[in-house]
Amino acid sequence: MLKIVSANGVGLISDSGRTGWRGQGVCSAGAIDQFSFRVANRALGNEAGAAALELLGQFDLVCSRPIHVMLATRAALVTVNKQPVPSGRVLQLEEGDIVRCTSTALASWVILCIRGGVLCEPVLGSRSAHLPSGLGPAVLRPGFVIEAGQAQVSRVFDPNLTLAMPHPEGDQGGATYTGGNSPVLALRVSRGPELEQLPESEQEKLFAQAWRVALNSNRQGYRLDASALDATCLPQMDSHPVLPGYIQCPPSGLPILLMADAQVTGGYPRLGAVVHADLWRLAFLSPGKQVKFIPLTDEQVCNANAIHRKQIEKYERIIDTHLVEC
Amino acid sequence: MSVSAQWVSDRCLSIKLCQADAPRLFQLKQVCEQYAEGEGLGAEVILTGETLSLLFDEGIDCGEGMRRRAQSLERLTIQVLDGHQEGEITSDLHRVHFLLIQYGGEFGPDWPEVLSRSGLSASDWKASFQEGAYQVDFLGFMPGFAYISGVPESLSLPRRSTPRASVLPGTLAIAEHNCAIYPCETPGGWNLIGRAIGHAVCEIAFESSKVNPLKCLPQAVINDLQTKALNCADPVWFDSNRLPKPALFQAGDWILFRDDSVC
Repeated sequence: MLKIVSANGVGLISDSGRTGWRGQGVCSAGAIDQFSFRVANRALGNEAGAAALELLGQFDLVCSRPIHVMLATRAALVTVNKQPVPSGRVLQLEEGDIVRCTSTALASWVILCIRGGVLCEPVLGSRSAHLPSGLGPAVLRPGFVIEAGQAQVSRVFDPNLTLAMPHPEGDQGGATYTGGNSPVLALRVSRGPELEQLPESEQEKLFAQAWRVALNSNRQGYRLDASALDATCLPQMDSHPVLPGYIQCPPSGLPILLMADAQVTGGYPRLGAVVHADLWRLAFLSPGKQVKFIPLTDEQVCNANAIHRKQIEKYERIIDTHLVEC
Repeated sequence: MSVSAQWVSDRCLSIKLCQADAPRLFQLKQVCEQYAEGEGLGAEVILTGETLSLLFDEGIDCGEGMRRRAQSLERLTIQVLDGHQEGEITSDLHRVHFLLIQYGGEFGPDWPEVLSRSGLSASDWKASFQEGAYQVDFLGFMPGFAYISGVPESLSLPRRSTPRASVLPGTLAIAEHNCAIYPCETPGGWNLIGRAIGHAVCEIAFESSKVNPLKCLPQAVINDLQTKALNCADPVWFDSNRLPKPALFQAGDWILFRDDSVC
């Protein structure tokens, strides 16, 4: 179907994640941008959690059998035979087509969904790779052949139309990029249980300054760098459940933003958590980029999540009213 | 009776019990799992220490829903605690793991600092450590990572100021009153003191209500475990094919640590 010809970066097979195994220490993993992932899978007639390719860097693939695909990630650079293709459009690849997927200044983790989903053996109910434990499919390397499974329905979103895929610059409400040449991704967060134990000046600093993602970061956690917080007032704690999007603060005062491969539990104080509605935006961050946190009240958090749910439903309605036989 | 559930984030609702009620957590977990399934909430129920948490697939999107779920968790907790029966079974079959430890070295870069902070000699530190009544409280962090409680107060240590980028599998580490064996290579903020180089496990009946039931184990059982551990290098801490319990350790298991240099 599709063969990896060159791989410069990190390439994974990801789905909606692994659930039900946290009690054994197994985290969910899965695609970071579950929003675009879900929309593109629906457009291709796939099950909601069908496995896709998730790529950071530049990857070349060659098509060996006709297949329908969709670039799920807005602002990523993808070419087919050197011609740029838009995100949000169902494309039919023919034998011999060369596909190049490239992360850009805006889009970091690029999702390419495939009609039928990537075929591989599920491990503990999921086809997602989890790099720290080695669970799930192997990392994508040159020579790796991607086979597609069976699509759920016989129709796809009209290939003559293009869906405006979710964009991190704020058209989905709330979070924005600011700062021109050195953009800062703003993410909305709920206030963590240990936040109040930081002095007020340190709380202000947490939310006022932009944090740069350090180079020694990975999909488990992004280490953030800026002027360190004075964390001496924060408690030593028993371990507790943690989730992607949590902002932990070790004694160094340099927070860690947990990502899709986040551990199941952790013991560093929790300053906040990226709201569910903004979790997908984490895919637009990578080492070297900057992030800012906007604290919300409980009511604002609920509103953000409610709007997000309606946006997903809206996409689903649009797709379902423009399906054609493929 | 007063219990209070707290939303930790828009996807996590937790309730902490007092130490005396903690033994009811497993029952509460079952009740909460039935509640979550019955309501179609899409949630996992997790135990960590004396805390039970409901982790939801989707972020909560309604203030009334937040209050209702918190009240439901409090009501279920009170029901379980009210139904508490005296005279619990204290004698049962237990799994006992024997871990052969190589202190210091490549896997234990914090060993010299740990010794110097305790003010103990290496042999005194090991003797004190190995006296502990170690039991797996719960699994978390990484696949197969067991939170083992029982580190003596005099040896407990805070987490490191900055987590290391990489800790090797098999590493024995300490944080607060817990210790653990890292099951896979991962970043980690605990104090690294050595490496588990051998493992053996058996099932044996004993009264778990004793202060340290491990001290009552027959010497013949310990000798047998030691022999098996010496012959079991590079244990597999997590194996996804070993269903339904892919992790080597399970909550409630007991652990014996022994210094490899005296075996």
